[in-house]
This record gives sequence, C-alpha cells and structure tokens, in this order.
Amino acid sequence: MLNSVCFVVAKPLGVEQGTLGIRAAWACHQNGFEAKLVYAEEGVWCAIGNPGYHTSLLKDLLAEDGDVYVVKEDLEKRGIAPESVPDGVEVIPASDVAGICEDMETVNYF
Amino acid sequence: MSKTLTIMLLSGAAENEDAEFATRLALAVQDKGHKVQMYLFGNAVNLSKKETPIEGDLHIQPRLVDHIEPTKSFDRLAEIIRRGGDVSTCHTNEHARGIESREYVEGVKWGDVGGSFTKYLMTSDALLSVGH
Repeated sequence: MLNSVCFVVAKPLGVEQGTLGIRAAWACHQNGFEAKLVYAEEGVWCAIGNPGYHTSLLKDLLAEDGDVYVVKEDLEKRGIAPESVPDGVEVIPASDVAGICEDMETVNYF
Repeated sequence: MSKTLTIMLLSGAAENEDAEFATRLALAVQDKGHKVQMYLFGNAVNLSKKETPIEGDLHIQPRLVDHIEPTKSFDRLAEIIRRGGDVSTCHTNEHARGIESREYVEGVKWGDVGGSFTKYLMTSDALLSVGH
C-alpha cells in the first residue's frame, strides 16, 4: 500500500493536467492518504488565487489542512509577488522540493 | 514475489506515444508476473470507449489512419484486462469529452479519482504517472 503521494503541478492555469493534479491531491487527502501538492514552473499560475474551479478546489484543500507549496524562484521568474499566493500556501525555495519528494512514497508530475 | 504497479495514464492515443508506452509497459510488467492497475485520467479516457464505425470512405489517407488510429491501444488494453489487469476511467473526464454514455472497451470499468484511483493506491507497491 502507498500511504503518501506528492503531486507536482507544472502546467499553467487553463491546462487540464493542472486541474487533474489538484483533483488527485484532493481525492487522496480526502481518503486519508498523506498528500502534498507542489506548484512549480508554469504551475505557479494556478496558485495565485485567480477565479475559477482550480482556486475553489485549492481553497477547499487548504480549509481541510492540505499541504500545499509553491516554489519561490518560479514565482519570481514570472514576476509574481509571493504575497499573491493565498493564505495557507507555503512559499518554499526550490532547494526544499527534493526533501518533500524524498519524504513521500511516490511523486507524480502534472 | 509478485508486486502491483498502478499506472496513471494522462494521454490519449493521438497526441503523443504515452498510451502506447504505458500499455506496452503494462504488458511487460505482467510478463514478469506482476499485477497491473491502470487509471485512465484526462485524455486517456478516450482509450476506454469502443469505436463508433463510420461507413464509407474516411477521406483520410491509409498511412495517416495508421498513424492516428485511436483504437490501436484497444487490443493491448483488452489483453491487459484478459491477463487480470484492472483498468478504470475517470467518468468526469469522459463527461467533459461528451463520451460518458458510450460503451466501454470490454473489461474497462467506470470510475472516479476519489474512488477507483485511491482504491488502487491501497493495493499498490508503485505508482507511475505517464503523460505530458
């Protein structure tokens, strides 16, 4: 049995795979698995509170104490201020991503 | 000792070779005596439905049909299931594509990420997501 899953969302808002990433993370979290969601690369556009389904699901995940991270350097590359990220999403340096992945039994890239 | 691999496939048959890779990998894993579970997510749900045949000329060159044929993974999916593999889909993604009411390839199961996929995790030794 796999008990812990990391989902890395690297597709921008509007690309289906990004939504599939958060949906899978939500499903795992709701079913008792340890789930971590990391927004990286173009995926950071999904984590800045834009209106729509993705942000609504992100808010649900955060309200249920989901672990959500966004990579600081990837925000900076796109000129996005860290303050744009909703409360509860942890802004982390890229160097921390490997540690998060190491802690989980499987890592899946969307 | 037999182990269980779950493959989460995100691509359909036309946009890249992921579906071909994933289905061939699944068969190779079964050849080694291991169990396979496949969750068809996103565009991969297009692999789960039987073809609705078109009568007459397709107006597509045969070599292009060979290249794009969406049914080319069906035989491998059926073989994976025949060998005991468990294959299910995301019905929400089917709905998004207007294909939810169509008939499944034999053995493919209706599913959802909250039920089918997380159930697979409970019996998996490894999870591999395939798609880009």
